[in-house]
Amino acid sequence: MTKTGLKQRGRAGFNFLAEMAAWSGRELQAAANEDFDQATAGEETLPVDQAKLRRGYQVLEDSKAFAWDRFYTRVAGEHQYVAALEAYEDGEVEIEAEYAELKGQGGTLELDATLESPSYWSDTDFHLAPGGWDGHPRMGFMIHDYIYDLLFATGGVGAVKPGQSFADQRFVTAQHASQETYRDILEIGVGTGRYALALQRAYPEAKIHGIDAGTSELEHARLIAARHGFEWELKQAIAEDLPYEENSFDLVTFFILLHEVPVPAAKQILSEAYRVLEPGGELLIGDVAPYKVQESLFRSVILDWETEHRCEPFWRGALLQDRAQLLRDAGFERVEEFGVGPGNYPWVTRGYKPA
Amino acid sequence: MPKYLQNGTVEDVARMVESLTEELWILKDRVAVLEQLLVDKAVFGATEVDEHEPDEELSALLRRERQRVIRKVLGAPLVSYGTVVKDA
Repeated sequence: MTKTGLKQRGRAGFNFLAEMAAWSGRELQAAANEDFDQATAGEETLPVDQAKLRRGYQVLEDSKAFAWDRFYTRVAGEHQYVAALEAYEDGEVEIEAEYAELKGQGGTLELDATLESPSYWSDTDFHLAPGGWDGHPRMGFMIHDYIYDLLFATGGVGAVKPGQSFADQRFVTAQHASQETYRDILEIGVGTGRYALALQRAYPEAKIHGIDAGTSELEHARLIAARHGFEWELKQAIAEDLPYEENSFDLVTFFILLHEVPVPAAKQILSEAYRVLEPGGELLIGDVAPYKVQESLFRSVILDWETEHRCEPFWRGALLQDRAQLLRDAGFERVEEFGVGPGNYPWVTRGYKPA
Repeated sequence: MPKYLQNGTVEDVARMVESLTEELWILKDRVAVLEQLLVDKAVFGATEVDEHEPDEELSALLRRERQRVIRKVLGAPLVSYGTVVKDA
């Protein structure tokens, strides 16, 4: 795979991290799962709730395979940024040349240097990214082009299983909006544009709009649009205060956003989504399934571990929520939820603004 | 698995890691020198190693060796060797 700016050090370093993560995620986790099953034989492990999660952690304290899998998962989670930064530094000339070449393409990008992002966003080093989403001017590039494509997509890390296709998961989610076509789609938390790509593929005629608080993410989303010949309308804004009039969109959607925000923020975001949707408009959410519908307590512990160990502080709270009820509370009707992939991932929640 | 280093300490491991890092640096330094000499003697260009993309055969060899290193080194604490020797 040819990646902008990637040299031998970055290639070899990411090859190693991906291989380590894949080996740990497959073989050590399988052994840990066996230990777990033996220790909980005869116990009722579903549906998953907080008490069962505590029991799960307790059982796994005695599993050597689990301990080492968690160690290597954490190390991979830390070292991916070290590898990405080194790879960026080695390839900076080519990387910046591509940004310069595609500047002005990909649609519009409105940045807001005065934007005050909420402290939960600016003070959290999400996913162990040093300094958080904007901890480096090219954090968006490093995460999208290097960490996702060279590590997550092959080795998996943490909650991400080896060999999972991110493009497919996002595309499958996008396809579960109920209409064949949309006019104006808003993605809240567009990030580096991975889900926006899936939306554009699923709805080629739609105008894609996206907001995010992160400068480097938005700049990379625009580059992604430009690489594919798309034109998106991107704005720097916070999800709790959308820069749009009410009744602006026929589809509002987000993917793996809700587990990155505290529950009060999630409620505000849903309220804003409702406001900017036109009557009859649709809200489509894809995310990790709530614990109550997870199919395995062992898998739930693996997921839950992200909360404390891979800087996902809002994960547990989000997965303990009744997501469908949050939509109903925000005024959405005909709310449905269902899994669209193996192990109920992604988990789709869908609702409509009353017509 | 039988254990022998009951009195080992983190300090001991840290000293081993430091010594290993010294040796690793010596090896990296030597590789850099080798590369420079090959460039100076025009065997290949200065950026060729950096820019090199392994073909299918090399990728497969690298993958095989990488997996061996990972299993051997990272998996070392998890391997069970031998059998219990029973009393006569």
